[in-house]
Amino acid sequence: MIRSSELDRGFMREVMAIPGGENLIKCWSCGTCAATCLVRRYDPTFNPRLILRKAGMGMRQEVLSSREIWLCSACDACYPRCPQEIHISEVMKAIRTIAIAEGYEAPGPFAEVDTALCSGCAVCTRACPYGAIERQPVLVNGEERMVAQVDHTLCMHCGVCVAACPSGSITLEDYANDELIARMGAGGWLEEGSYQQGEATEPRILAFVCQWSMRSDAEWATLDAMQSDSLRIVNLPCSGRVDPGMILLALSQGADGVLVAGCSEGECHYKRGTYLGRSKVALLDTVLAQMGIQPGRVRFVELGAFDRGALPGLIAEMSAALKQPAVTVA
Amino acid sequence: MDKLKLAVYWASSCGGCDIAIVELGEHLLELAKLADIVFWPCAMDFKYSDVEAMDDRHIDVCLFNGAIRTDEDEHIAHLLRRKSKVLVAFGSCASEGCIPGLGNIKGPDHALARAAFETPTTDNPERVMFAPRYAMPEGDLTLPALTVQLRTLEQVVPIDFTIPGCPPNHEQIWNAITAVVENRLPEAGSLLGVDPRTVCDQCPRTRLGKIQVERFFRPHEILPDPERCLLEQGLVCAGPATHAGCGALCVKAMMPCRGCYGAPDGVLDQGSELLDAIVAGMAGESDAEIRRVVSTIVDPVGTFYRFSLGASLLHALKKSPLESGQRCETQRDGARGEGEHA
Amino acid sequence: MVDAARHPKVEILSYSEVERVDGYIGNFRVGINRKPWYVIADNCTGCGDCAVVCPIEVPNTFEMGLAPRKAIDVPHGQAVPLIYSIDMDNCIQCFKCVTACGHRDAIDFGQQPEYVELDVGSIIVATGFESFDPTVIPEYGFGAYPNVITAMELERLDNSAGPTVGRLVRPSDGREPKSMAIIQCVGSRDKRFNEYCSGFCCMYAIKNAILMKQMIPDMEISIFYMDIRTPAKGYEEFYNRAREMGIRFVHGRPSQITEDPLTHNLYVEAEDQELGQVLELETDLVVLSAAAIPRADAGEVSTKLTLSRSPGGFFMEYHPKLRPVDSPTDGIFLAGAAQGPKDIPASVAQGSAAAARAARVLSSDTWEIEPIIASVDENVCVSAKGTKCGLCVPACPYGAISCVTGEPAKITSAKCHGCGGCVAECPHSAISQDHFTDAEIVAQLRALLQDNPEEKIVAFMCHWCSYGGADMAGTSHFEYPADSRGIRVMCSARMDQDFVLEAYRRGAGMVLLSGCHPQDCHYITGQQVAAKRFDRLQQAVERLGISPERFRVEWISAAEGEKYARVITEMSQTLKSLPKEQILSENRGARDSIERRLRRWKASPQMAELMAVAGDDLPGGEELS
Repeated sequence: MIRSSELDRGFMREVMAIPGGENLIKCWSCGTCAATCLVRRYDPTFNPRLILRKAGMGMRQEVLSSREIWLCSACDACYPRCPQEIHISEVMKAIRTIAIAEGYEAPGPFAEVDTALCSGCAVCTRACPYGAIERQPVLVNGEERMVAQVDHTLCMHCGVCVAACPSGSITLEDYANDELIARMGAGGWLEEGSYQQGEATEPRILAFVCQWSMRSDAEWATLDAMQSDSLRIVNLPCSGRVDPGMILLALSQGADGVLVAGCSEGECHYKRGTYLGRSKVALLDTVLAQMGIQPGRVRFVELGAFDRGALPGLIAEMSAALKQPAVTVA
Repeated sequence: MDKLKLAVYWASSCGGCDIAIVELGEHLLELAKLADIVFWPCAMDFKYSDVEAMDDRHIDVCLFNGAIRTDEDEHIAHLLRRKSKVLVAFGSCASEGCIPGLGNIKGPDHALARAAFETPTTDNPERVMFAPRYAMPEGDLTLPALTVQLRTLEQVVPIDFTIPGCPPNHEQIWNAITAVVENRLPEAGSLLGVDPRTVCDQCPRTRLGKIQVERFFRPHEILPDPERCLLEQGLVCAGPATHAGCGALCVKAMMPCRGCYGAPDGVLDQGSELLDAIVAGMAGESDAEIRRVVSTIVDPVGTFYRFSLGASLLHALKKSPLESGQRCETQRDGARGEGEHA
Repeated sequence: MVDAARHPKVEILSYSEVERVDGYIGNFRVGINRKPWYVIADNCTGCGDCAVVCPIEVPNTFEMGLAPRKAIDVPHGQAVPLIYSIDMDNCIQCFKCVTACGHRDAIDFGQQPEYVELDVGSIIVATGFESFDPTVIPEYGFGAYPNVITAMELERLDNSAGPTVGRLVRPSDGREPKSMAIIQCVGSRDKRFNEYCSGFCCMYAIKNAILMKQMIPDMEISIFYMDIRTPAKGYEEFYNRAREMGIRFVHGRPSQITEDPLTHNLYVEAEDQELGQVLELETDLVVLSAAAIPRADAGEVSTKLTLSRSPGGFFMEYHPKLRPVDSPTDGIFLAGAAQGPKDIPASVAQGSAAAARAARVLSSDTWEIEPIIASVDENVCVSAKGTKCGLCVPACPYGAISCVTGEPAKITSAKCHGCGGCVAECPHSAISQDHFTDAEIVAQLRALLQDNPEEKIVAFMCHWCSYGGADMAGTSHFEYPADSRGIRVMCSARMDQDFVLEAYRRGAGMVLLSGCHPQDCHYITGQQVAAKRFDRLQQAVERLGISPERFRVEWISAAEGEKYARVITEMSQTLKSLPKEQILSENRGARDSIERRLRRWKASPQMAELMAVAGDDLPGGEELS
């Protein structure tokens, strides 16, 4: 039971006083945001409507100390659908600002920088959609150097920096480079011969799939069931995490083609990760074309909010295209 | 103390690595005290038969520069491997293919055809192709044949260490030699003569970090700000994806790094790491915009893999290791050049 | 409808449009464009033989595009009059219909449009509403997925006179749906589209659900809502009945609808707030309860009839409580959804009310109008002397003034509602308003600013809003300092520049001009006229050297008593913070300029009387007294 005497009516005003939090008062708990939220699909404890309701009711302690307020990645899928035009991610940020001031911390995981390896090139700073990683002067092995440091209040663990770092100095729990390579080749999948080499009956495709582009457990289950000698799925936190080196590794071993599935333009869960994923594939395409490698061996496909169940069809399309005789440029 | 038996060989190379050793300057006098040069065909009058006559593992350290482009290079690589205790891939050609490695884009037949038939100054109306074997009344003349793909030293024989660079920085060369002499070698397979981390660590330019580049430029197209990071100004600087060791020489001279010191430790493939780094700072929030920005990078293979194509994963994509070592088509036995004397 | 058509005193002009309306209450002249039917009304029996043979089929808007109609057709089976008409945009003039009509000879391709003028005493506007098009909400898939339909489409599909003769079928495959989801508040209660509640959708959704459940008892029906609004007599019981029939109500607004591309089944995703979990409902058919919106031509109609529109775009009533079926223009009444979305009982009630109000006009010989009307002094009006002016004409929200150069401006008293806008706009003081003359207001200023004027705030308030707001402040006991002195006029449009200048000339510390919010003005556009004037006035006051904080413009409604109190409190605090010498010196500095400007008062007729009494302290008055 919630006693009204335990509620802090001023908390709502506190949140509303922070730029971005002004519209909290307009929320009438219609639940559209909760039904849209992709984070909620995978973590049912996260409910944006409930957080706004609790904040509005004045449940200050409960809201500030919760881990849920840190889970919103500001993908803003809910914002255009809110009938009260509330910029929900901004309200979350306002709440977080208060929480940080009171000493609360985000739960993680966070990207981690090996400061001994980091050269301070700032590539990660450019990659990060949240401005969460910047160079700071740090004492490393007795020497002060400018190295990348991750801001735990901002890092959304999208993994884009891990791929971007050209010296392999950044890692992320579950999505480190060697973990992904292990998953790609688990069970010797990459050691089996490819269709191109005449050693398989169907083209063998490695699919890197952004976990947010698949909208439900049911879709993942369908995809999982399709894994076989001809199809290997590796999920990524974001298509921006894809590493062209791993694509080339796969192609130079047993894979005929590599498919990268990411979110549609404007729908990236981490703001611009999908553009990074596409850019890598686009640039890699020009490299492969110049080398005279058969076109179409690397593809980026986009999945939008309404493209339910579309991925198996896209994989089949790619497979059919790879069966066409190779047209190599001399 | 016994003097070090030192060998230096140049396979398919430009000779710059040998000059780099000469650049040791006064250190050469010390070198002369520490080592006996038992084989250096570029600098002194040595023959293959000298090597063949040695016992196996007679040579203490062999600095092998140049890539494996011909069957002669391969033959000598095997020979020197047998005859050396420590075989070092010296310089970018030997360690990653370097500029000659770019020949793998179109392959040697293409290059030979261009040289034989298509250059502006070629006058070859009968279309005579270079042949590996030319019959003369006195006997057959032979030339080393080009293989299907250029390979690095490591792709042909096992090596012990690598000294990267095009050429390796002469200070670094001296560090490596003293490490050998003083028996301070790191574990087998390591790089010698390098500094930790990447070129960016040694680059003095300021980085703002949040720049999104709208288009890329070739070095002659703009005059960059001397204080700011070149990557942030739209030049493709390979610094972030290149091992440190040269002291950021080119960058300090207003030119973007080309990546000649090779990949940073532990990464899969230098070109793809550089590609990743470039994409991070690229503008483009739609497929059309991305295409436009990408189109401003002229010669992507040459840009990303200028020095490392020979060692890259792309290399493995094109031809299998077995096929790579075969003679290229126009150089096979039985391939006759037109107009050959009977 | 048939009864109405048969009534001897009712004439139905169908297929006609109002072109213009002139005149005033009791004496309207309405110009009407009668479009040609290409059918002779007297000869047509409504037998329909022509439509049978017509080869052209076009979408039928009455059937929501779900069924065709012919190029010669009636709008629907119950149309009154039941006369066929030809849609010439699509007719190919094959004349098959002429042949089919035979001896009845009702078709006339040579028929011309007709313009008629009617003299009428009163007008009722009952033009209805339109449905919001949900295509603009992409996450609901209307227009993209075949099985997402609107409630109006559902009405046609379950209607026994509709395209499927009452059999409910799914658009994608024509089979009977086993399940249906109804989504409420589509385009309503949504700041992105329409903020208001459309009022009748909850009831019609429940009605359709109950109807479907009766027709197809096994059908699974779910209604997704934010609130269920069933307030009127019997409505809550109806809602309960629906629940007891097993219709599922899900308290959660859907975030999106996706489609299975093979089966064309739909997945509605919404949070079931009672469960606290997101529900993904697979359903055969989705029905969107789309908002009621004003008709697309509402703007045109409001211009022709001098009607005002409320924020949602529906026609504005004179007063929501006291005169809900009157429009601001006397003699024109409103009924039904044209005035705001409402259901049938309410529409019928309003129709009866509007008819009664309209009948009052017809049964009177005379009509009482506001006494506070404006009139033009022909001797002062410069247009009468041949100068081109006419500044008063656009100031009138009712189009009551006409002005031809060479003649004085003419005000039609019956149309005048007494806002006073023309009075203040006239630069020559040629127009005066009964009971709100310039002299009366200047006399009030004189009295109020007699003693210690620098310590006072002169607050001009419009009668309908700001004065009501000030009154509300009083009755609600919102305290504010006693530094203000109020002057009431009917509309902010009456607040003349000269009054403000006179206030400063008399030494006022501060001046407040307060009127309605733009959408609330009782005189439709009076506030807009005032707002433009006040912008210019702000600059003029500054140029005179008066500090900007001593002149303030506010828009305060009758309900904003708290705001009125707050504004006066703020102004009072500011006034007290200004040094008295500053106020005195600024006023002194502006005095000459103001006096020069106000000399023109002596031309104004009523001013002569005032000057006779208090001439020595009025500009130009010393000459008269």
